[in-house]
Amino acid sequence: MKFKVPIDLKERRRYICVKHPDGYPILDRTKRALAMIGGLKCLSYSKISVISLNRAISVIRTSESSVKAVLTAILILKYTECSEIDVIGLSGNLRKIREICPEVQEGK
Amino acid sequence: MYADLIAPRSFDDCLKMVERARYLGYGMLGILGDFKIESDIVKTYKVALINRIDPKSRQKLRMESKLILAKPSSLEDARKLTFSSLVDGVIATYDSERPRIDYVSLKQLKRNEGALVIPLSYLIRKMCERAQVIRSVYLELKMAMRIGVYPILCSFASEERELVPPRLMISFSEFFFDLRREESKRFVKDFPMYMLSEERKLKLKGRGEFEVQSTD
Repeated sequence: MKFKVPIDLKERRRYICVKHPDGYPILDRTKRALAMIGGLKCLSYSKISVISLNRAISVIRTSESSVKAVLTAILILKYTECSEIDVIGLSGNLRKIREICPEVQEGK
Repeated sequence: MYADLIAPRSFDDCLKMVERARYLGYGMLGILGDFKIESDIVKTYKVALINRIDPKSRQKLRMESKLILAKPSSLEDARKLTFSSLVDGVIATYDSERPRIDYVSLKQLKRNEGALVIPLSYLIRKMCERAQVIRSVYLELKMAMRIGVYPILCSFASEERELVPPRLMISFSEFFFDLRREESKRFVKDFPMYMLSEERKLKLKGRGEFEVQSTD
């Protein structure tokens, strides 16, 4: 017998828009920070991917339950490795995140 | 409105940090050190950090600083410092694997309406060197919550770049201390405002201002 998961119980995606120095390897560093805090909390976070909007702005795609871990990882990177990382926005909709990006570039 | 505590290294840093705090949505900023900044939008106040209580300078300290925080170096020290009503808050043990604040100190702190202050930037830097330090902060935090001492999370940033949006601080405490989002938000929003209010009264959303009288 197959058990069907209702659609609303599936985990929603979250997109975190991050501004960083030109060419900063945000995926590798975030994964490393996640591994570090995962070790402290006995958890593992592997489901993240990065969409690069340009050389200085990237979008981190993750699940809803991992958002706080990813934000914590970014905070750790900000204090320990590169203080120029900034979270610009957070949304469940990639289109909205893409809309934020040109506004940020104009304001720069 | 959010409130934060900062520890700038120079006057220029302090000026930049006040400006950035305004941009990030902070309405109040406690400044550790002798920097006086006047701002229309961000209200600033002076914060003093002490290691021991000197009876001679007690009055002077209270006159100069709105908030007096203590950083104990041992359990006995913490008990001595929290015994006095001079101390408004105690810095959590972010640099040792063993807590320096115990149940007795926190009880005394509760009596004096003080708070437990967690310095985020110091804690993260120490945590990356020695992961066990998070354990002592976690223990102190859980004890404080059980006793009823309000925990406060603040950045203690020393540079403009170290000031972070409140959202990141909320996520940090939610993740590391296994808290619900509302609890975590109180650490960053309501409890700092409580510590700064004159009457030390917590104004939470949805809570009635009048006490219900018994009708027996």
